[in-house]
Amino acid sequence: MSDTDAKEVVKDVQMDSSGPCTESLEKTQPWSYTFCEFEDESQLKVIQNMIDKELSEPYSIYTYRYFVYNWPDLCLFAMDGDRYVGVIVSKLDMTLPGVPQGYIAMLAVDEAYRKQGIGKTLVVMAIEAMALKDAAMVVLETEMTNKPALALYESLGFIRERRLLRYYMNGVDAFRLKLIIQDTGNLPDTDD
Amino acid sequence: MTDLSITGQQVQAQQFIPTEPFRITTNAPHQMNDVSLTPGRKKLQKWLGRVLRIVITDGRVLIGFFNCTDRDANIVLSMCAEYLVEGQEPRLLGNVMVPGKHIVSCCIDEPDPQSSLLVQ
Amino acid sequence: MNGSSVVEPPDFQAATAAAAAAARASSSEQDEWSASECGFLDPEVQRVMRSGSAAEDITQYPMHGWVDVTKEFHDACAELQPGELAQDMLFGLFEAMSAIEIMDPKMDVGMGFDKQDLPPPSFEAAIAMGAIKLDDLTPSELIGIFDALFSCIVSWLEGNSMDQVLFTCLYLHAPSKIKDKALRVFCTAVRNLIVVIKNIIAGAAVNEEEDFQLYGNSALLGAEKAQPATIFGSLKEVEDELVRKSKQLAAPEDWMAVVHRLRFMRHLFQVIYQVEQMANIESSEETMNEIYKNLNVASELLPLIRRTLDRGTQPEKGSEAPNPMGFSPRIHDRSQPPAFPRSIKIRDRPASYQFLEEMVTRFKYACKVIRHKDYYSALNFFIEYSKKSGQCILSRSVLQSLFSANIRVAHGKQPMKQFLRHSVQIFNSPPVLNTKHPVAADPKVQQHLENFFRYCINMNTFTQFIRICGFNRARQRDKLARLIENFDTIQVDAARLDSLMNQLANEKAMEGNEPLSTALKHSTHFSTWVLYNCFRAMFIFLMSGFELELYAVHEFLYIYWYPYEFLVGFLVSALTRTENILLAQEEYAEHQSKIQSNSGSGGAAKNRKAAKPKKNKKQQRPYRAEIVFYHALLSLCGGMYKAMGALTKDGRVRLPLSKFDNEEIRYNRRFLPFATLTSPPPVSYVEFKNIRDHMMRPSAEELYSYAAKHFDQARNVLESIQNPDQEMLDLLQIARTNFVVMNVLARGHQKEVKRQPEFDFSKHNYFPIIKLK
Repeated sequence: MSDTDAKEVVKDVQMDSSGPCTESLEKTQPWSYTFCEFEDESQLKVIQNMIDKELSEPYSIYTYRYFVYNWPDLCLFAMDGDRYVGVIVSKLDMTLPGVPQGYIAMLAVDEAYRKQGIGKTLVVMAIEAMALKDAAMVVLETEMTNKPALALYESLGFIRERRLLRYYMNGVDAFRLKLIIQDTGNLPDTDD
Repeated sequence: MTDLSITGQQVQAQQFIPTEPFRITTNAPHQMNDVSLTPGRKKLQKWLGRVLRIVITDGRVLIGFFNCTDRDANIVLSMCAEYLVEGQEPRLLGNVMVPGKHIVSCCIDEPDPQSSLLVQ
Repeated sequence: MNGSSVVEPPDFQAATAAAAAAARASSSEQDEWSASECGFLDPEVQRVMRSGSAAEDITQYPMHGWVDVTKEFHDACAELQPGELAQDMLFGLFEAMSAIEIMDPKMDVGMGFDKQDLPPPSFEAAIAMGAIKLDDLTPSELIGIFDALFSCIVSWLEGNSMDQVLFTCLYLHAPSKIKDKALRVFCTAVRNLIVVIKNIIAGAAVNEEEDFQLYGNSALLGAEKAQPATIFGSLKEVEDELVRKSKQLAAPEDWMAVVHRLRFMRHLFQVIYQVEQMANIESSEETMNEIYKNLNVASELLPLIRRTLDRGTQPEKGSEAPNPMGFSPRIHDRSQPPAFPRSIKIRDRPASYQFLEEMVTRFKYACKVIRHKDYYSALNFFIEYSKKSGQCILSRSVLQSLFSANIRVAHGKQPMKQFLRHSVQIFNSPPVLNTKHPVAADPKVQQHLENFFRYCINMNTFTQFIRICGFNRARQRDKLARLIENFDTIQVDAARLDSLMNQLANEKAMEGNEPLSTALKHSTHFSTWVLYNCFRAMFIFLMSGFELELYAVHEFLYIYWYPYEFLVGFLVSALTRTENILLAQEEYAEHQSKIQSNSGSGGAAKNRKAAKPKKNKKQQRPYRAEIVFYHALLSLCGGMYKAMGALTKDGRVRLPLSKFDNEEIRYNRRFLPFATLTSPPPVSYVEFKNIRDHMMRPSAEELYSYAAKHFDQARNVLESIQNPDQEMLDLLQIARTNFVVMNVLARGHQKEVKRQPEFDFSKHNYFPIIKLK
């Protein structure tokens, strides 16, 4: 990226301290999980099982199909051997004319495997895949009460762009999160 | 990575029939004459876009245009009307997905009862 | 992710277009489907395309006859591969996403239907069943129904659907059929109240869909004609009858409890009705007084009502109905749009009356808007009100209505334009706006002024600023961003006006017309007025991000930096300049009056046009208090800026991974609405970085002590304020506490374990108390 230099310098300034913040969000033990893309129908059930548990919003099997049939390479699994332990479902399109925009629809990690950086890795991989396809930015919405998700995305450079009052069916507010990968200088807000 | 037919960018006019598993059978005119289709697929093809009447496990009757199905008969209907009791005032639901496991029976509005039994 | 996105991804359009193109290419027969036609997956278009000559109405099917294909269908499906779909060529998976999944409890309202279940009773059915009484209701029954209805009104005002809340009350469907006078009159009043409230909210136009649902089943409301003007009289009549009755019967307190509720409804209704009528009537001061009186009576009645809550029939445990008799909670479920059901929470009775009490208080406060006769003070009032009125859409709408009526009365035709003119005159008193001053007669000058104010109105900027304060807090931020962008053209126009005045001043000076020249020179500050308002909008915009919890901790630094380095300073200098103009005019006027008195009109002060000498100090310096307050804010921002610098340097701030994060992009995004302004000129990221890097050169301990100094300064300024309000006291506490925390860190506290502190915004939306963990 063209602003690598800038980022290096920023990093230097920000890290010019007596040491990085010792508080870390995940344990950094080495692990050997594998990752793969969506490949066939049998994985659809896996996704449904992992995600239906977490969410209060209603999704039907066709909701999942919309994403994984269109963008199978933006649906990634984390696996511990042959056990599925994490999934991210996303897409990339031109909701804004001329602006390729990534959208993260769902992210779930098996409860027993949390706090190990799997979620973050999945997000990073998805964003990298989107960036390779020239995504200018990546967006998502998440409940304002979902602190772990907010911390995860923020640590990757997402900003909370808008607060959406009573966005979800249960009346909870949401944040619209956005990561801008390429600043073309004229990116408007997607809403309004 | 399997060639994806549904994403617009990858469709080419000549290669419309994709490889598994994202194969789709539609009632697009050119596909209607495809002789390689199996009988079941042909039937589904014929029925696409027509009005279905589905009775589900709790007794309700759903009537709508048949848009889509998968192998498990998870059927998508559009402009669907829901009847708690047939003949009484329905509730209009728009797009509806009926999971195959909840389907008790399925009827089609068929002008020629004989034709639906003809199989090629 | 939500299910209500409506944008169709081009992929599907492309897919179906390609399918159609393929069809066209390979088919030698007629072009049944053109590519452009197939581009539409809009359900409406689909429907039309499908039907052709066939019936569009699904209820007309079957057209031929149902043929059972259950087995064939399942067998056919079994031939499909896993993941394979058979789909209509117009079908898109995007549409399927919003399809309701049958038998999923989250989506399917109709499930669990048991044919043996009776449908929820309608009004007629309930009468036939004997489930509701139309006559001879006991006080307890009346109280129960009235209290439940008030709870429904509150739930409705909080954003729930009218159908699913209010119209679950069967009595509301046809009040004219109720024989019991008190109940009939009360229910009629509720119906009319609904109509009038909807008019106010629709008219104020500050409602968004997350606030309140303006639309419901209009047939329910239309069933009986609204006659709001008769409500007051009929309620009074019933009250009087019941008061007489209560003296004759046993349990008079119970009947009085009914009377109190009727009376409360009457006064509340009167208030709402008068607010709506304000659009039409002449004298707003009188009406305002009446409204205020009615509000006072209403608030006096509330404690009496709350004491007698337990005298009414209470909702049954486990039942959704807010009252045992008269309510059918599920009655409208099936007529709602098939969107996924929202959970309807009807507030319990004590909480509902609490809401009403607070609402009445808010309305009383809104009445005070009449005192604010110029833009500056009105805007301040609106800003304050917005902070207090929270999520209450009706309170916000009422204020908008009162304000509009008020300026219309004060300024007649073209009220906003006159209002703005008047406001600028109040703000920095340019002589050209003073109708008594000779320069006002100059047609050229008047034309320039007219153009400028017309432009302001056409741009809608100032009107918008006040209206923006009427929206909910989240929407305000978005709208402020647009507003700020629009300020640029007004600034340019104001600068143009100023230089015109200057030019004219020089011309008059050349002609030797000194008084006119000076007057014109004193009138070259329209841009100050515009800039001041622009800066305020910018500051509120920036700080609103804290209130809405939009900023990550690692962003605090640049957010506090900008007001500290620039914005608050601009505000202070705009106000100081304004004060100086006013002072200069004062001195000039005194000077003039001295000359006049020396030139022989004797001691007669009556003929002088000059303002009286020696106005009291407060009038000479009307912005002094605000300037002082901004000094406090400046120090608080400075304290936070340096505190964040220190904490970052000290490794106590969690920073994003540099893989995707880009501070420059974040910075630009956060200041995006400011980017197109001429004044203040945008500050590039590079400039910010240089300033920030320079600030962060000292050690963390030194930085902590600089931050502490700022907080100390803030404390000093705040302590110097006479009669501080609650906000100032809260800021004082924040300044004091942060001062201590900074000093503690400066002395090397917790050197080994570097944890990110907690930022507690509970005392003030903009400035947190920094808490070490």
